[in-house]
Amino acid sequence: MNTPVTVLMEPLSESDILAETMPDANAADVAATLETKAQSCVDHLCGCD
Amino acid sequence: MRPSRYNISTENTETSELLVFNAMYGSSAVVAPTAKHEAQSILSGQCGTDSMMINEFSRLGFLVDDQLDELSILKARKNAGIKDSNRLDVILMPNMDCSFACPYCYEKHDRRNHLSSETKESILKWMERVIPGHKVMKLTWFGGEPLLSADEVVEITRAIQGICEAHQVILLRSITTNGYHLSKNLIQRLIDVGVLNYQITVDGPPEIHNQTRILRSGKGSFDRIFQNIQDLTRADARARVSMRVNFNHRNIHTIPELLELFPSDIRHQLRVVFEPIFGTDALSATENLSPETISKTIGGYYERADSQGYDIQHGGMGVGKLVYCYAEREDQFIVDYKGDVFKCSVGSFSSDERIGRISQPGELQYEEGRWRQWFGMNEFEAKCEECVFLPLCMGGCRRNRLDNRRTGSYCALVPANTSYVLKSVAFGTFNEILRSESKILRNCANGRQSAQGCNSCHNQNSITP
Repeated sequence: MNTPVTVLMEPLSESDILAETMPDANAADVAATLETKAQSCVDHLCGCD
Repeated sequence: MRPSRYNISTENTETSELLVFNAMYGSSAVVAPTAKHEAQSILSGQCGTDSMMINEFSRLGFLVDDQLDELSILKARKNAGIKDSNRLDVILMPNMDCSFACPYCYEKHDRRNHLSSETKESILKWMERVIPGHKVMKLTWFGGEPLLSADEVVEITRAIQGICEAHQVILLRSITTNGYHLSKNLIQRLIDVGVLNYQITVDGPPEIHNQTRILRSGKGSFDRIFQNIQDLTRADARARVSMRVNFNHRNIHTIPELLELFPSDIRHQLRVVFEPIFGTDALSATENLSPETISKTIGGYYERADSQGYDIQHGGMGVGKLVYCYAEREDQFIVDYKGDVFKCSVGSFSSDERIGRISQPGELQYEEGRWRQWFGMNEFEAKCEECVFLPLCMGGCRRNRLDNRRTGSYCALVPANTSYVLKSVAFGTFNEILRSESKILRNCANGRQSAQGCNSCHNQNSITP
């Protein structure tokens, strides 16, 4: 039987989202987040990331 | 329960499925055509009857408790990002000089504007003070053209590396350069100090690139940059180049030709990034191309680049973003060749715009008024608090808010530029992004879940195709 709702992406949790800022955050995890998470602006040609 | 204020849904006109996305937590789901009307009823705040669907929508964050203040959660996220002391971002500008004279550049260059040895020492003393206590430091070289100060770049990077090692701080290094001065010798020196991430602009095949990426003499730069990128990537397998193409109506159609030029063995080290030239003049992409054209064309180019072996960043719609850009973080500083400190990398970098300066003994002396002004704003503008994209954007350009009382000239562009999926948000409709995203996610979704059932009432944000 076909299921009516197919989950494509599970929700993040609030603790997932704030993990990089936590005092007990692991440095390597912070670095990995910094390198992968979108945090750029698109307004400018500055190339900031 | 009520619908989240950050639900976005759209119907796939090809399959009649309903696509639902929650911008707050990044969850997404497809509802089969047979259950679409029930889902729409639940998500629009009307009573539904399918309890299993309601439970699943609740689990996915599409439905939330009546008392939940989602806006307060976003404000808390933003403040966590602003106050985050785990990371330190420092952009160093060793000069405000450039060997190029690109017609779209907003900077003012002067050959005399280089870092002095005294300022260099002051900056390093400041680094000794500021690095300890952080877990990660991101050092970015910027200019002007930083490699006109290559000795300083190498020397200071090595010194900062030493400070970071002494304090167990992870150091991430990158450089934005025009790529013209990357001789084999300099490449090796940079690699030796761990500079492996480069952003280099190539605006198209030779005849196009040489119209915009021009030396001060007027001569083109393509051949040399093309060779230097190959030398760089072959010098070290870890080297990565963000190959940026600034496009507008004049060169957008030449991007496929450019992609053909780079040898296949280095393409995996090249991350292509297509950036519209902004502004309101004749060079502006957004003034001269329709959003639909940009979205469709650039999306296609990313797919083409992917199939040709280039590195492109899939996904990443900005879910979980804490601040609009790094300039909103307290522990982020741009330091120029004079030791003046700024927040935003777009501007004249005149001393009267600085938020502080590095003193001779290496102390950051704040311009208290400007610092307070920069951080004294509300988390979000009132109009942003009503915007369904707010969790993906986090409030727009702080500088624009401050200078112009606006959230950015391109508020329609959901601000994160790491993926072509997001470009669809920026330039097209959310319908496009959900189609793209679902296409990607369908390929990699591991566990698909289903639900059937009912009960509750709500409010839906819907963007019609």
